[in-house]
Formats: sequence, structure tokens, C-alpha cells
Amino acid sequence: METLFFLIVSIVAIASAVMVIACRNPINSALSLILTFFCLATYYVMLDAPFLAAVQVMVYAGAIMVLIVFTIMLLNIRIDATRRHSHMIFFGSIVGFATLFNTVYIVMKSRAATPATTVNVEALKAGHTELIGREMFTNFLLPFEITSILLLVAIVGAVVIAKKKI
Amino acid sequence: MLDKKNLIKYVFDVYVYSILVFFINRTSRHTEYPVETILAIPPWRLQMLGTYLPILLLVIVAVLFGFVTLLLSSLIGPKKSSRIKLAPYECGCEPVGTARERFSIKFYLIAMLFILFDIEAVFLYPWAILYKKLGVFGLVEMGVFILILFVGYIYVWKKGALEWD
Amino acid sequence: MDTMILGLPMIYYVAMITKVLVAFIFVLLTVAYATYAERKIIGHMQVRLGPMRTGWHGLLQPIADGVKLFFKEEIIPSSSSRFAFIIAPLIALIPAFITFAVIPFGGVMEVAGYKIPLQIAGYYDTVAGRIFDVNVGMLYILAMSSLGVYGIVLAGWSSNSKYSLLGGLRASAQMISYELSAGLAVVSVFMLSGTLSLHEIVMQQSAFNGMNWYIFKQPLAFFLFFVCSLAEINRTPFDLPEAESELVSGFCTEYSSMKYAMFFMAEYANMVTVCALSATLFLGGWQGPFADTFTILGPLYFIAKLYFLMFVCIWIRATLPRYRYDQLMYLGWKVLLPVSLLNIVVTGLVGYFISH
Repeated sequence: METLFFLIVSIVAIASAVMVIACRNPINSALSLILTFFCLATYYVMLDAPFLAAVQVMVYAGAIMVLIVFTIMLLNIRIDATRRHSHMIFFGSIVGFATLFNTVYIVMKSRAATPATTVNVEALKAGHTELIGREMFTNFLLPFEITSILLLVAIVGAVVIAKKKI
Repeated sequence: MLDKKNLIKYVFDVYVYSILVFFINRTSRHTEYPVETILAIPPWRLQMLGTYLPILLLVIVAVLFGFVTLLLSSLIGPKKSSRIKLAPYECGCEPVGTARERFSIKFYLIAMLFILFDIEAVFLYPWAILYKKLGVFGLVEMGVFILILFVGYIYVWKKGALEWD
Repeated sequence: MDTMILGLPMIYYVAMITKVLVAFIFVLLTVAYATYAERKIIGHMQVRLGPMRTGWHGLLQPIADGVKLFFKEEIIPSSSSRFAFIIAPLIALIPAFITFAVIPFGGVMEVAGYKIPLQIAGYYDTVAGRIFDVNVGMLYILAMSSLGVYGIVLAGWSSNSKYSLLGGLRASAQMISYELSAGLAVVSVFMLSGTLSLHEIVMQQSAFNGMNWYIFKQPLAFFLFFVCSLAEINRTPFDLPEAESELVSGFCTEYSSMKYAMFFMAEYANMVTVCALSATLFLGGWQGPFADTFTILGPLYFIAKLYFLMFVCIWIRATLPRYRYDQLMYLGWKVLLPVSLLNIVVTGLVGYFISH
């Protein structure tokens, strides 16, 4: 039953991911990307990580894609403009294959390759959100605080790029 | 086209990327949790079925409702179209130019700031539900986090990025 | 009825389908009659009668409107992007109709010895002896409501009309700005509750006289959340995306027939969700006197609170004039955002000093 559901979601995920690069109209590509993010969120739910699923939809599908859609509308790209820059495909595919290789390597090496036989009881008892919070505010305190500085830099950068005059 | 400057830039990008990947691989680690067996917690699959299956059903019902409504109305409604009728509305005049003009950078900036503050909000949720358990430690941590972002907020305000004129 | 399917009894599946269908039809009917109530209430507030002709005091008006819209011609402008134009109303409608899945609308009902919580996404576990629901319920709602913006931005862009584009852009910028403040306003509630599960939040507000309601502990958060939500769903006084007098209905200028109606249904369904959510977070949800003993009272209290808040929405529409766009952005970014951040900080400090 779960396998069947997983298969259906996977087919949708892969099909929409292919649509992202196959669509001629950039807005349709963006819509397909939103669907891909949705499928990812479904995977997170199936992995018992509802907090990540919600954040995935909120941040990626709800915020970042809004910016991408705005950018597409702002630039108003003509389809013929995409023909140029063919050398980017070469470098793009190098990075793509490196990522794919890297992902396969991590998956093969890590514990995810061996199926878990015991249920992580603490995760179920405390709830996923609380567990993430506890980790973030104790073990990973420094990365958490650095994130705020990263966000600050991004805020300044956004304003500087958008308002060159001032 | 592919000139020397661009080539160096791309090679540099790939280089930086691979270094980053290397370090992420090196530093990622697993935290072990005590694994015990208590029967009072229902199995994962039951929780899945009990809480997410209804949502799936509701999504299916809503999607079906939407498509059926669209289909029915397109079947029932009359179809007497003409070139003028299918033109975009512009107060009854002939449409001038294209509507896909470039628009103000403001909207782009708002979307950008929205992402950044939305990520801040996402960090606040796990903190909020742990707030009572973390005590003064958590209060200081989040105080620093909010303070740093508030500096950014004041910068945005002072730069006039929030003005609409 | 004792057959088990995948570890859950048959009655669970029956209850699930019933709950989904009943709630869906309830929201549909509420949406239909909210339009009627809006016209009627505003009419009486302006010393008019409102719809009177169809049925007794115009009671059949929503049905007549619906049937009329079904028989209207569908126009897809020749210069539009067809796919996006057709899909946009669906993208607006579907998230609006699936958000209420996690909102509890009653206590636990017992049917044939099996306990059924009156909440779509929840079940009673017989081994653990308690109700399980989506433990990130509130985040689910925020995530789904953040998708509503696509319907509007796509509608505006794909119509290829100047009014639509302007309306769509305005609407999307407004929605994301206020979504932010709404998301921050509810954080202080979670600081008190310590959970994101809406079932738990309702249970914490149980008291006979309603003194445990979060509105008494967090009045500012309630106000902020309600105002931001009104702006996020484009209700008056923040309805400028569809400002009839300036933008000829904004993003839905080019829409006709049921596609047009779908945007309206989405807007009213969002209104239902926002009011239900405000009632759940701040007004004790389905809690009320004797609601624990008589299960049937739970949904009644919930509907009463929901309809009261919807009445307030309509009341606001009849009372307040529309904001100007720069005022709107000023309010969202320079007033509501810092105030909701401040509210979190103050809640944190006060909570700390009270507990010590």
C-alpha cells in the first residue's frame, strides 16, 4: 500500500521535474517546480517529518517560488532569448552530475541504505517539531545564530540590488 | 558567448561548489537517540493513516469539485465568440500595446523581504513551542536572533525600501 | 463493522468519509449563504432591504446566482496564456477548500463503541487512549494559505490585460506582506500552548466560563491576527486588488462564468477558514458550557463562534472605507510587522517573569 503510494508520488515528482526543464513557457516551468516541491513535501510526511513538509511548502513553494514567478514576470523573457548561452548547458550538466553522484554516494554510505528495524520512540513521543527545536537550540546553536547574520546579509543585499540609486 | 572571463568564472563556481560539498560531507554527523520500545505509542503507519489519509481524501474531493465545476460550466454555457469579444478589456477601446510591461522593482523587493522574514518566522515556531522548557537560555538565544534581524529591518526602513510613492 | 483495514477498524473509514463530505458540504453552503448574508446585512445597515425576490426574503438568491453563472458564456481572451488562465481559478480554489482539514469542530463522538474525534484529520487511538491529529496543524494551514497567492498572480498575468496585471501584482504583494505578520502574530499563542496541534490548543482553553480563552491572555495577538488575515484574504477595508472603481475587479477582469465564481468561492472559503481558525486559536474552539458532557453542543458552539466572526467581517465591510495602496503597505510593513515582533518579545519576557 505504502509502496504503491510512494510509486505514484514518485512518478508525479519525476514527471513534473522533467516538465520544469522541458516546458517552453517559463511560467509553466515554475508551476511544475511547485508541483515537484509538493511531492517532496509528501515524501517528508511519509518519512514522519511533518514539520519539514510544512516548511518545505511554506518557504519553497510559498515564498521562494513567488519570487521566481515575480522575476519571470518582471523580466518577461522571450522564448528566442533562451537559445543563446548553450555553453551553460555544459557547465550546468557538470554541476548536475556532480550533485547526482554526491547524492548517490551519501545515500549508499549512510545508514539510510539499511532499513531501520526499530522505531525512534522519542521522536514520536516528543513530536518532530520539538525534536528539531531541541537540537537547534542546543547542539546547533552557533549555526542557528549564524543564520540570522546570513539573513541580515541577504536583507542588505536585496535592498542594495533593488535600490542602486540610494 | 564563451569568452575567457566567463570560463574562469564557471570553473571557479564548480570549484567552490565541490569544496562546499566536500565540507558538508565531512561535517554532517548523526546524533544518536536512545531507542526504546514502548507500546503506548501507536505505530507510525496508523498515525499516517489516521491523520493524513483524510487530508488526501479532502484534496481529492476538492480537486474533483473544481474540475467538475469547470467542465460543467464549459459544457453548458453558450459559445458565441467574436474577435472583439475575445480582446482584453480596456474600457471599451482598442487595446493599446501589450499588457506584459515591465513593472516596478518594488514588488520584487517585497517578495525578497518576504522570503527573509518568512524564514525568520519558520525559526520562531520550534522555539515558541519549546519556549517554556528552554527557560532564560532560549530567551537570550532568540533575543539575539531577533535583534540581529531587527537591525536589518531598521536598515530596510531607513533606506526607504518600504516607501510607496 | 469489526473488519480491520490496514490496522484500523472499518468504522474509522466510514467516519472519515462522512466527516470529509459533511465538512465540505457545510463549507460550500456557508460560502453560498455568506454571499446572501453579506448582501442582506449590508442592505439593512444601509437601510435597504437587500435581495427580496427569489424565495422568502430572497433566501434562494445564492442558488439563483449559482445557476445563472453556470449558464454564462466562458470567455478565454485570445491573447491570454490558455493553460495558466484555466488553471488559475483552480489553484485559488483548491487550497482554500482544504485548509479546514485540521480545524477541530467538536469533541469526541462515540458511535458503536468506537470513539470518533470531530476533526477531519484526527483519529482516536484505542491503545494509547488519546486523540492523534496532525501535530503541525497550524503550519499546515499557513502552508496551504501561502499557496493561494499563485491563483491570483497567475490570473493577473495570464489574462494579458493591464487591469488584471496591476490587480494581480497588487494582490500578491499585499497577500505576502500580511501573511508574514499573520504568521508572526500567532507565534505568541504557541509560546503559551507549547504545541502546534490545534486539538491540543483547544483542549488547553477549556474552562466552564471561558476564562482560559487565549483572547484574554493575548488580546493584541488576536487583533493582529484578525486584521492581517482580513488583508491576506483581500476583505474590506483591504480589498483593493479587486477595487471595482479603480481596477475594474482587478485580477478577475477577464474572467467570466464559473471561473469568475470560483475566485469568489475561494475568497469566501478563505473567510470561513480564517474565522474558524481565529475561533479555534483565541475563542476556545468548540469549547463552551457543558460541551464535554453533550457532544452535540461542541459543533453548535463552534458554528456560533464562526458565524459571529463572519458577521464581524461583514460588519467591518459595511463600516470602513477602503485603504489606499501606500497606506496599506505602510500599515503592513511599518506597523503590524514590528508590533507582532514586539508582542513576541514582550510575551517572552512577561512569561519568564511570571514563572519565576
